[in-house]
Amino acid sequence: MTDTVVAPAPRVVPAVEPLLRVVNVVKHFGAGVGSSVKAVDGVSFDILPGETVGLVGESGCGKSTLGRLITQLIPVTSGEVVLDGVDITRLRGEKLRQQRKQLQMIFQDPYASLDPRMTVGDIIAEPLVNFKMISGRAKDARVQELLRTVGLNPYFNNRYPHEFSGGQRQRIGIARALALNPRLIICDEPVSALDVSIQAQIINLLEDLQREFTLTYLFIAHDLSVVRHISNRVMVMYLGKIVEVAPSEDLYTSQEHPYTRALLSSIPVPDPRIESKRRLVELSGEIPSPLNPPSGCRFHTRCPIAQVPGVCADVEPPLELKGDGHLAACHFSEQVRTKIAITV
Amino acid sequence: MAISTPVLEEYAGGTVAREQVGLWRDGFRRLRRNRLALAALVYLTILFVVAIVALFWTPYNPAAILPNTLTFLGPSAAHPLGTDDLGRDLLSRMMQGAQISLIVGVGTSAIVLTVGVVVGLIAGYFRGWIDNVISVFINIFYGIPGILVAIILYLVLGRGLGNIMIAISATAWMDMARLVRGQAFSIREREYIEAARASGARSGKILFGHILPNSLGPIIVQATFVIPIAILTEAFLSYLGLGIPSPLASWGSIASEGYAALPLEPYMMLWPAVALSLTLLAFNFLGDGLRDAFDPRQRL
Repeated sequence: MTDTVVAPAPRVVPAVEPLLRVVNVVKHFGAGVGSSVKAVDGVSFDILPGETVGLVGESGCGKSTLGRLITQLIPVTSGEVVLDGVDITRLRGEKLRQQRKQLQMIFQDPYASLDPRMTVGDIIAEPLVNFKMISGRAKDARVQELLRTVGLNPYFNNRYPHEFSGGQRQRIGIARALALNPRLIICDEPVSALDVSIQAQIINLLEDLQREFTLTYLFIAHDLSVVRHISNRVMVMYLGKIVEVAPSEDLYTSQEHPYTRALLSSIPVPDPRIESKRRLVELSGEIPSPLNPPSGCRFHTRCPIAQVPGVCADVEPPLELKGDGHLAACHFSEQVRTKIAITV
Repeated sequence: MAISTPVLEEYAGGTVAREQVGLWRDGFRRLRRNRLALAALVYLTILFVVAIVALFWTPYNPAAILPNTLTFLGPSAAHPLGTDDLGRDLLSRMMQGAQISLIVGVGTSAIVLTVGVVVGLIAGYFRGWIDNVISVFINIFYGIPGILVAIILYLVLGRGLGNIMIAISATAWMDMARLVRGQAFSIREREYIEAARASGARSGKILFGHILPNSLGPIIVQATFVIPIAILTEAFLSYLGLGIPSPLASWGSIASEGYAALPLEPYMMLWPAVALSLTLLAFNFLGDGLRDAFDPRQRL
């Protein structure tokens, strides 16, 4: 891409140093000679200490890749990930490893992310052992404390992961992420693999832990309903780019990007009277291949209000300020709410 | 801690630690149901006991040419398996042969296990040029018969029990390395490996703390199959007169001497042939049983 856009940092509370600054991060995966999958294509944002930022988008939009770029589990193609003033994309080996103490991750699949040959106690203690923080009886005590913190029986430490349910396993994953007292936790769809009834428990737990340990979250999810209550701000991602960023409540009441509006319309409302008045914004077609993203605005192939041929197919819209702390990348953002109806 | 989430009813499975049904318990339970493997295990246990007893006691000195004893004696009360071409006690020599066979088998397997696992893990985990070098090397040696490499190497190294194991391991480690490489290749992509890296694990910890324990089943099976191959190769080398230096007895050298004496005395050939056949069968049955027990997906 030639016209990558560096977004001005959106801030809810100004004049606080951000804990995490992501600057124009790009990740291209090689896919044969001369072509590459542009999984993340110029993404910039800030996360302030104590904040929870939601990151939403459909499968394949690059949100999980972005999470792994921030944790440096995969290297960036270009751009900076600045954690507490240090650009961790330039760190290698031991220096990078030391940074991991501040930055932990909760994984999507609670079945795949726990080593089946290790006891729960060993899994939770692994970060502590890796950094030689603690050993012996103090370690056992810390593991039991962590188990209690995430609402598990502290005497389950010598059991194996397969003896637990999905929700319990995710609690184990959360305990592991907490072990090092990190400042930032990347939650990569931590509830997508769980039953709806368990989802609320896990989200409540994450909220409690945030209050208790002043944690900062980047909360990745594939639908807007999950991130609504936990997030201070929500970012919407489409095909490797952020298309809208807004304070949480703002985003749910007023949308400046047609994609966000479509995502929002897809959330069912548990009240039949409201539900019957709801209208689904149907997007035509599939998400385009990130191998060869559409020209201009990447969303124009599926957008209900796109002007094609016209500016939407030719010019990539910049992510610009549309309101107080509300950014969107759309040429016709003022028409989004009038032209796309989501109620009858 | 004022965490509002209580220990819920769903965790009411009890606070007493339950019996662990891990890889080992589960595997051995399945192995116990396999009669053939169980019989093999019993036979091999007896063989090991015999080999250990032979360290301290044999009916006669296996190397001694006994005074006042006829050569080529058939089975008798004094010599249950008879005597050989020099009048040495065959039972004592067979016991020593069992020792040699088991040392060579288990020793070779240990070398193969160490080298193959380390090389395989490195190739499969780091990939890139290091994997290419290792894979090309292994593929070249796949075209050359292992027994040929073993004979040449053994002649170069010189005679001795240790050198025989090294010579057999020289090609046998490659199968193990290939197997482990494949395991590492697939396991390194699992999410728990990513989780380990995120929690600050170094490469060594990931290789030996996560990937190795998760590929242990197939590795044990492969290590078991190396034992009969090594025993057979040693016997073959000794049969050719290249193996264990005389007067040490190996089943291969006894068979070789027995073959020369076949018209006079068939027993001398019979004992090592039967012992070798039973032992090779037993190890193969055990290997099959272990594969079924620990690695059910590979069942053919």
